[in-house]
Amino acid sequence: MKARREYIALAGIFLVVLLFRLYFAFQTQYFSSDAYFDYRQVENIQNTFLPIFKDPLNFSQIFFMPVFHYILAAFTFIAPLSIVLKVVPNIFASFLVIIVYFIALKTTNHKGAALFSAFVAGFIPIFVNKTLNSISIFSFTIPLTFFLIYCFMNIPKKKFILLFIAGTLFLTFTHTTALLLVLALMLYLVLVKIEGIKTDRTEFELILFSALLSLWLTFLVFKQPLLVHGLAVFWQNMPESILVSFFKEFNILTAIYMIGIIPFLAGFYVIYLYILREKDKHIYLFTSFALSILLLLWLKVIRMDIGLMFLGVILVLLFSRFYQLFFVYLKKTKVSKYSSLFVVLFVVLFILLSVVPSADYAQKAVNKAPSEYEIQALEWLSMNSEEDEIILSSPDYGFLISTIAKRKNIVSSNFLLADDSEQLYSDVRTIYTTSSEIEAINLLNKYNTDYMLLTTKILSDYNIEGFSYVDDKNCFELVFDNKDAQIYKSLCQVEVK
Amino acid sequence: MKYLKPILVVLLALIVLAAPPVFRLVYHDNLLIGEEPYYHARIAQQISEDTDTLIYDERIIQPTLYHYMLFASSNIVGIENASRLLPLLFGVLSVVLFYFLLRKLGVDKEKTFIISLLLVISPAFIYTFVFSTPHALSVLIILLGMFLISFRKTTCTVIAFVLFASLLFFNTFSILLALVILGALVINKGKEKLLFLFFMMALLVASLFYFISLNKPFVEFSSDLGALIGFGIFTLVLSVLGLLVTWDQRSKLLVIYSPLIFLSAAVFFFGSFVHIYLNFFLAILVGYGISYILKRKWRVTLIRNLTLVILICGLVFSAVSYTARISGAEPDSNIVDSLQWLNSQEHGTVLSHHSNGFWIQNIAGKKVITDGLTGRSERIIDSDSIFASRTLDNTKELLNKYDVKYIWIDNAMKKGEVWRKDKEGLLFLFRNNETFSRGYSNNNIEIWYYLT
Repeated sequence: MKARREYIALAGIFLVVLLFRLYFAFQTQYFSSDAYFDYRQVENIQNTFLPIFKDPLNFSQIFFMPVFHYILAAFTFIAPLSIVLKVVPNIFASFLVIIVYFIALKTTNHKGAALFSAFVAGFIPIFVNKTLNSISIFSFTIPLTFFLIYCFMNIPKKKFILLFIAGTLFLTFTHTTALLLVLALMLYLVLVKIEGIKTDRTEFELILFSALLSLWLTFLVFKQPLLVHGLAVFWQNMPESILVSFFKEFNILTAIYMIGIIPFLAGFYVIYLYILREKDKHIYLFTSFALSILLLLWLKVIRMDIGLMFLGVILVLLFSRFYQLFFVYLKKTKVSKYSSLFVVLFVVLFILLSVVPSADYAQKAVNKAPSEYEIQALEWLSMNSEEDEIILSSPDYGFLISTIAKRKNIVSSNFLLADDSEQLYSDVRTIYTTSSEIEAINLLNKYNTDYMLLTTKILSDYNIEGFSYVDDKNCFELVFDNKDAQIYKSLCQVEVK
Repeated sequence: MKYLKPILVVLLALIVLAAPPVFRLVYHDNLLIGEEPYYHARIAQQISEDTDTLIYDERIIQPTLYHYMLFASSNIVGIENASRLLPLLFGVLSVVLFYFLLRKLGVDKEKTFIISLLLVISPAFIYTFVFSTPHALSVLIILLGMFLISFRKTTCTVIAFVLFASLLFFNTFSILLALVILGALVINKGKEKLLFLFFMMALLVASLFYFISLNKPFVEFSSDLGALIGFGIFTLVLSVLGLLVTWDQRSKLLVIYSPLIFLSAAVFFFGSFVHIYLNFFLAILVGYGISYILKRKWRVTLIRNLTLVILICGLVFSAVSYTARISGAEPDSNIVDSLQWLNSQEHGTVLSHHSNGFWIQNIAGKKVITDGLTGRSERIIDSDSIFASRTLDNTKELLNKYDVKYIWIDNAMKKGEVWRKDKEGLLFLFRNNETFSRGYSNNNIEIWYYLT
């Protein structure tokens, strides 16, 4: 009976987190612009059982691993597509609280610490922001990664060895996150060796196996991009100006706010405590994971938002040890009779410093979805343009154009196999920012552009007030105009005599 | 059967080395693969000539023993077939020598078999004995010399020295390697062995500093990442394991360690062709690495078996992937057609990227300003200037300097080899139809006339 109480509490936490997410997710019927790539893939798998690699509506070939999209497509047999894409990623993301509970319980053997950590894990602001309304693959891979960590912690039990092997295989085919896990485990081996902590031989064998497996499968899957770009595939062939915004300098204040102040401070305190004094295998495992992420962030091999999502969960796990230590220490003091008050204090602090920022970031995620006016513009294109006509937009709208307008775009945010991503991005930028009509028309002709999309967001991204050359009515016709979007038709061709 | 294992190794070598030419025959008009084979084929055909007239400023031809052998066999089977068959034959002989050399050096049968198999499926081995280059013969000579010395008989040693001396007709690097190997084979005393090893390590460290100080571009090392002469990722991983496993025996394995260290240093000075030779020693380390995994006591047999499966798959994948890549490598029919068209045109000098030089010389029979043997020189600098310049007068001055008549451009040049953007440099100047006129165009190639 007593044991069931914790599970009921855990189920309650799971539901609260899920409902929190769904509340915000359903504030808009649309998704963030990048999500429309995934939308299109799942839709196509639903219809044809195959993903789209050579998309006729995309200027360059697309490269990605479709396992996540197949999983989502499977759910479309029981619910409509848009519902599945809203609900299922949020369910996956919410499972993180259950996984964190069990890991924290294994680490601390303290049900209170485990439950509180589970609750904290449900409200990591950056994780909420990136997985709420964007059909994000990280809603699946992050819980899976931590599930694998839980399996690793339970070695040498045979069931968990098999689960770890199967899970690693699955993760490798889903996303390159598997390499991060492998790096963390290898660093863990180094740390325990330095500290003289005895580990089971099975751990070493499993780490060796998972390292080789991940390495090989990654090379197998990414063979073509690796041959084309070499190690630069880590930077996904992105134009430099986009890279700069993705690989921002690590800002400590932003990081704290995105992760949550309590887990951030408590987590790093525990690392400090255990690296210099105490020896605990599990804490070293989490520490090695944190150090791997920090290393990759420093080398700018992973994006800041991705690194912070993983770091946030790790710090929550470390926070569970802090929680346990705190209350153990409290018991020894004169204020031990007020321990329930301290629990309440923690809850209040957590709500103020994690739940409220999570709600803020959730709202930001919702606001990133296209507006009704932008959707209207895209639907207008779908109904009023020919099937083979080409639309100019910024990369952010690329997938929206192919999914909603069902027309070919010039550039999107997947550059991995683009022939010359720098050229593409530069040309599109020039069309929007140039004051030379000839230059603009030349470039429009180069990509056989028929329509040009201009939205409030594009104006802001390129820091312009509009196309400076569209006054020439012989060459440009305003065919659609609403509060947020304008569409121009390109009429002219440049001839060279 | 006593020789079953070496026979299996030879059979595998035949299959692996024959695969690319066979794919080429079936899918790619039976063209030779890459650039260098075309150069060596042409040199073999012009064996009696002193100078190469198809390069600006002319160059003295220095044929090696390989070119003479290529010439001799071309009289029987034709130059293209000779370019395919000779490396293949040398490859098979090299594998046989390598196998028995390892046995002579005291490596056990099982390890020798594993090492030989690993060697045969390595991308660098495939390159060495599929692409027609003198390295195929150079490797064979070194292996034969080592094999003869291992008998420790005077006659054999003398023959080995003669063979090593013939390397003088190849390049400086081969001689240096031979000297290092000789030193390792000859030194017997423990202290001297350690001293020799220490000297090699010092050389490696010095070359690392040299390399860093010159800011040289990093030599491509992995075939899985696109290198033409490189190693699979698993080869590199397993060779590190092999190094760790054999480190305690480094004095005993001096004949492996000292050339290995020397070759690692030589890469920085001589370039990526050193990988051809390094590959043989890495195969040995990889063999030791795999042996360790096989013999180690694993707690969970399932993990052991799965690990072995992955390693084998990884190594085989590297080979298969590399074979597929080189089988589809340039030149393709578009390139050859364009060059054959150029061949039908009047005499004249051709401007193109230096990597295309050998094709233009061999197939089009035209003189080029730069080719694959042109080092950093005024001609390279001038070529780069022509490609980059948007000032017509400057460009014309340089084109006149080299008496250029044709400009040969392929897609690779437009996609990063020379230009990154449209209308960059010379591409912009092509719009001037009083100076340039496009004479030929297909899917990938443009040939422009320079109208003087």
